[in-house]
Amino acid sequence: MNYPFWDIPFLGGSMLIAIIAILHVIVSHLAVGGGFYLFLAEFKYSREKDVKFLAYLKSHARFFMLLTTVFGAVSGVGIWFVIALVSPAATSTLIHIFLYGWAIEWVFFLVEILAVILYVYKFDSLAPSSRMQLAFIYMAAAWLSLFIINGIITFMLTPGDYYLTSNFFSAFFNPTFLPSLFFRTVVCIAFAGIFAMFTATFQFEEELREKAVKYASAYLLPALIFMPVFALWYFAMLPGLARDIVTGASALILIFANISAGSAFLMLAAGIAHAWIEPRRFSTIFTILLIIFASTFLATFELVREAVRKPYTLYNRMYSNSIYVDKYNNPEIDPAGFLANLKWCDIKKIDDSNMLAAGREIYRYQCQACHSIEGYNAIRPLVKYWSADFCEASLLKLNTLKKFMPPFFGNDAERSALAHYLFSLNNKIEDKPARR
Amino acid sequence: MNLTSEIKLIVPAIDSVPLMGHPALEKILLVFTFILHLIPMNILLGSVIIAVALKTQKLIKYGNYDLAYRLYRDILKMLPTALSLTITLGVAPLLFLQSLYGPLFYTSTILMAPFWLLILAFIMVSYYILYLLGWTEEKVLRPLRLPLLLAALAGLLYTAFMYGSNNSLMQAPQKFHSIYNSTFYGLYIYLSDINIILRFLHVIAGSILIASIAIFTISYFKKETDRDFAVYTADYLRPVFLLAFSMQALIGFSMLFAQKPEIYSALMGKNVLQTGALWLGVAFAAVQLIAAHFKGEYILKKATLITLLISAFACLCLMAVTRDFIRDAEIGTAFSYMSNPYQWNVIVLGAFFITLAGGLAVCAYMLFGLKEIKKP
Repeated sequence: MNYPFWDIPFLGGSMLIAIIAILHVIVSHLAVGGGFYLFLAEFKYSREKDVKFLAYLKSHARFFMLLTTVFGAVSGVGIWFVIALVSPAATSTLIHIFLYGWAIEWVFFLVEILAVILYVYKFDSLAPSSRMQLAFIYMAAAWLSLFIINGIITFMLTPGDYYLTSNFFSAFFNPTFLPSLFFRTVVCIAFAGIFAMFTATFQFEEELREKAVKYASAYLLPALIFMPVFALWYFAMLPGLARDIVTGASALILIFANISAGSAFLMLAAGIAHAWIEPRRFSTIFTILLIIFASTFLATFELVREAVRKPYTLYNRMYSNSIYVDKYNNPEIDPAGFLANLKWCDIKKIDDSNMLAAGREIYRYQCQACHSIEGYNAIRPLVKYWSADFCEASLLKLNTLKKFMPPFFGNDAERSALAHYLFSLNNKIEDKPARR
Repeated sequence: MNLTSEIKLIVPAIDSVPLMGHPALEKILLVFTFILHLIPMNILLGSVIIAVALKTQKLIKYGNYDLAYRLYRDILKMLPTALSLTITLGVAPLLFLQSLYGPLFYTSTILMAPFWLLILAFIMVSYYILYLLGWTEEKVLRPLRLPLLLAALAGLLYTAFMYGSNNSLMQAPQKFHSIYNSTFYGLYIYLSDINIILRFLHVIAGSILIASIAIFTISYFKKETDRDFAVYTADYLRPVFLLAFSMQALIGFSMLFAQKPEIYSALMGKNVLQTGALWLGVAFAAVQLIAAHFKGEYILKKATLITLLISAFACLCLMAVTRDFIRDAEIGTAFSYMSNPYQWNVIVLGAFFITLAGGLAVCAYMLFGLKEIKKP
């Protein structure tokens, strides 16, 4: 209501966020886990003094830097760009609450980037002890940046008592903070292992390849053991509605959750089994398969995590269409109707001449955040067999019929206008010309 | 209803969640982190332009081919790092800008959304091109190297232009409503302000100035081991610097004259602080010009380098302050960042400043404190 709405045909805003976010989380988890790998691999070298392993580590680190410092950084900024375009009001609230949290994360990010750049570019010229220090600094800074971001992400789903207390630490250390942090940490470490397996397959020397693959497979073990525990802990801390969504209230989300769990198991079990049973035959193609499992796991996990937050963007504060939950108690919101609050729309009063146009505007601001007209989560097929009256009746009980939908906000005339607009998507009706 | 109240109607309301410190503190942090971002950004953009110049001159026009080739390769190698640092250091000012000017900034980005998002793709492609060029031999992809370098430059220029256009649009809330009604898809590029073009040219010329000083500084530290290279670099960069300086002076004064009368008068004496900041910045620019005129042994003196670096940094800081003043003056009474609600949270603020100090100390340690292997 407060901001203009960016109309993204076919794809819709939520899908655009998902595409950029999924690309980012895969690389960012690798960036965090990679820190553990670099440090522990340096430690391994310091004990064994295997120069061939060191040469492998050097090539691994360069590839790692190329992937994480720019793709990770730019896609991270990309999420920020796109959430601000699609949900500016929610982004603004998050920035106001967590401004200095993000600023602290930026410091860790700066340290992390500088550490990995120096580690790679000065690999040959630095003393081994200094290289290990750099790897440690990178590991610590990368994990601390996860620590901060995790607090902000989990707040969106489980705000704790922040909206009662306005306490920053209540917001940050919210109910899902710890389970999510532990869960993501073991995922990061597992991703580092899979990525290291991938780079190891490019080593020509069989003995080195076997050694590097076996070593990398150890990074999958913490996830295999602890991921189910942390996932259940995380699940237990979710709000009741979110748990209902993931356990069957939405069939699609239930399917995604199962795909996520299955992919995670395949990624971990297949990776470890192959590395220990047949390490010499560990191929690049197989690691690509593992990367596909890993990406599928994390992508579907993030989709589920986003979906269980419905009908909110910020739980209990703002719905996914950027309308405040406590709008009737907000002095800045005009209770007379929705259009009265819509700054960017010139239609303020509905009559026969503008009913569809008004309905289109209401649709844009109340529905289009999740539903495109044709394309992702399209509305046209959803309402194909609905009469105008049925549309209106559904809008009246929207959040009762489907708990993950926000309630309709507006007066009777506005609801009727939206119902007519929805009906017009599959039936030919037009606004009557205005009387002169 | 007068114009100002009409404008206010269309500026989104400020979020009611209070910030954790006074908006003035965020403003200081915005300007401080913006200056940090400007350094690698200018070095990056200017160095790519200088690299293109060296490449298109076939590396031979300016005397010694080997030294020109080395200069070109040295510049290429530092570009991916400069780009990484530009991105990283660009995050913080964007954060503080959003916290203070969110209602204006979010709206202007929505009005040009696809073009704004394209920045990400261009930056990423530019990085990988620069990495490829910097870390492969010249014989690799030989016929494609210049087109690739130009493509990377185009990506960076696109980014600079879109940032400028967005920042200018953000300052014109009176145009938001009509623009939004012309496109719901964000297919708009704001061009109807002469300052956008001037600011863009100002960025380009300024980047060449800063980059030439940065490249000279790097070669200066090689003077003990390779004096010929240091002297050659200084001789090559001097005309580049002077040309960029002349352009910058011309563009800078054009920008001054293109300002609204009230902003112009504030910069010309009415507002002592702003006048002082601008003209002190100009004075520091003049100091750079004098230092850059030294030739032969004098240019390689420590005092000359320190003068150049201090005056360039001071000029950059003062111009950033001036730019910030112009933004607020352009927005006028339609919006004030000081209206952001705030409630001091000393613990969180303290945690940030301690982290910042610690982080900078760790960065300094990584840059200067690590042990290198002694070469025989």
